[in-house]
Amino acid sequence: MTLRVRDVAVARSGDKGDVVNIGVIAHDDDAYRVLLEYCTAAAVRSFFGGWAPGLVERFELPRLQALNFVLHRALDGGLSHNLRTDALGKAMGLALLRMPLPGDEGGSDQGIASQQGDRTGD
Amino acid sequence: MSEPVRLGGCAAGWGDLRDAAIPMVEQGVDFLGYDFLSELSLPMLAKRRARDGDDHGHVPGVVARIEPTLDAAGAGRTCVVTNAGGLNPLAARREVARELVSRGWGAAPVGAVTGDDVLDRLGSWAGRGLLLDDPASGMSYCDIADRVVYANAYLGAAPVATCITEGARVVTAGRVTDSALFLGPLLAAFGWTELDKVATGFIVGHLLECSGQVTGGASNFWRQVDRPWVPGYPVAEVSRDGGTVITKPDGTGGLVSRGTVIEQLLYEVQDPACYISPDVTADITDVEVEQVAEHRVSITGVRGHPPPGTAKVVVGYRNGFIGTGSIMFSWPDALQKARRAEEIVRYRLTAEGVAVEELHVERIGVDALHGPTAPEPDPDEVNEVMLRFTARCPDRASARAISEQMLPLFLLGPATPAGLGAPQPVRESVSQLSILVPAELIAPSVHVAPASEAAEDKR
Repeated sequence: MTLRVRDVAVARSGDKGDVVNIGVIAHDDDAYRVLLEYCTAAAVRSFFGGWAPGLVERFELPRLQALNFVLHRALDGGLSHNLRTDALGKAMGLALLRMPLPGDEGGSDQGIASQQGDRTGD
Repeated sequence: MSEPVRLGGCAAGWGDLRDAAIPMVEQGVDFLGYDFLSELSLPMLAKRRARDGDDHGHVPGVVARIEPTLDAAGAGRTCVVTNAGGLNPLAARREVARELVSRGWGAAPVGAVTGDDVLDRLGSWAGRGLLLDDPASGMSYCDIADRVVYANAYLGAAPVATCITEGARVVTAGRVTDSALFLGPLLAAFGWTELDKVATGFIVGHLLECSGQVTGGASNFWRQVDRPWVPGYPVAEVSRDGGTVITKPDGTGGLVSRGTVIEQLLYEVQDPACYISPDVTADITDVEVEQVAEHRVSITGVRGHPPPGTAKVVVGYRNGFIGTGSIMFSWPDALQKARRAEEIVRYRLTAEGVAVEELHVERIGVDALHGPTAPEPDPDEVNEVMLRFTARCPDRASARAISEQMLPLFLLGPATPAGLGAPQPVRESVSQLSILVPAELIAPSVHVAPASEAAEDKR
């Protein structure tokens, strides 16, 4: 059976303007190594498709065995602008739990960055 | 002040529980923080102020919301810090002060923080050639200048700390950062200037500002959460050296574990090496989170760097009207029927010439929450689907036309729609820009006076 993020981690998403972050917290060290290898910014961007039209960044927090994904332009303009039932993207972290590992890498590096965030947030 | 200082996080929005502070007050905490403002709050407060007059614009019913704390605050056993001031911090202070006077605490000092409201200044800033751009959306203040309903800068913790240092037992601020409700008290208690400690206080605020979200609420570990119906909201115990433990009142439900704390530590964070606030930029890359006892989790290793020289200003502007309509379809072929009905409505909206700027359609039960990541279900497994249309329209009548498309579906749609509720009221949409301005343009003001005086303050 395909391994999914859910088998190795939990996740919580949050919003800031038009940006969604997803903290992915591994169950243990082995699980963290699996995430590091397969739960890439490229895979996450490809998985979310039209809900991740912008830059996707991945940040590593090895002491917490966690990854933080930052999805830019993921909320159709942000909470105050977006028409979705889940205008805050609260369920996007849970959606990521379904992503297979290894996932579809999407075959393109466009719009993908690791460990180099832009620094204009609150 | 004796160590460690204890701070309670009592609310994460103005609909939050009203009784979470009771065990905190009973067991003794030095500071209680109530975060009542979200991105949706200022638009609602702006509407109330426009409707009800200049005495309004603060969080309605603030006294009832913080009621369990007022006698303890009046007596000086605790200090309550809130952003319930919203768009009118002095009105919130007046309301709280009147209640304190009626309870016999007229001598208790109460404070307000103003200076976040920059609505009157935007025009002159633009006139002086200041760039007022929202980098995320690519829009500028100039694009929406004639539709602005509020503009507020995020203030930091310093004015909150000043109120407390001047003796305030209740502080009503406007748009300060959520974390300032907790960092402000810590700065007042310890006089910290070292950036690693200030950053630790900022992260304490970050953990407490969403109330129960750090003590087992909204948690992946929800199965392990004890009696969530009587949740223990978070209490932080913080020492002068920055040592921090997150816990909750004795005897309450909830869960404080390494997992629940890490979930909240990363919540709404972007680059963990560069978490920006007006007070300090925190680096949480090397933070250690340890379970030191049952429902006690320690946080160490927060580093601090200077804050940016910019202040974030949120500008709300009128952005059309939102209309919604929804209807349900049942097995057999519920999802296919919903898709057919969507085709019908899209055709009719175009044929009737309804002005729609943006239309969002979701199939609740199938893909509303997970969008493009939701798998296509086996048609026979879908028992029912709610089809929901939401549209932004330039005028009220067009927005109303969205819900008006639902009833005809009973008469011309596939077999058989159900669950047509009362039409949803059309609402005016207020969207928000976030612009950065030089921090020195923002000048917070602090107002501290005995409750008896503040109760008569007519400003």
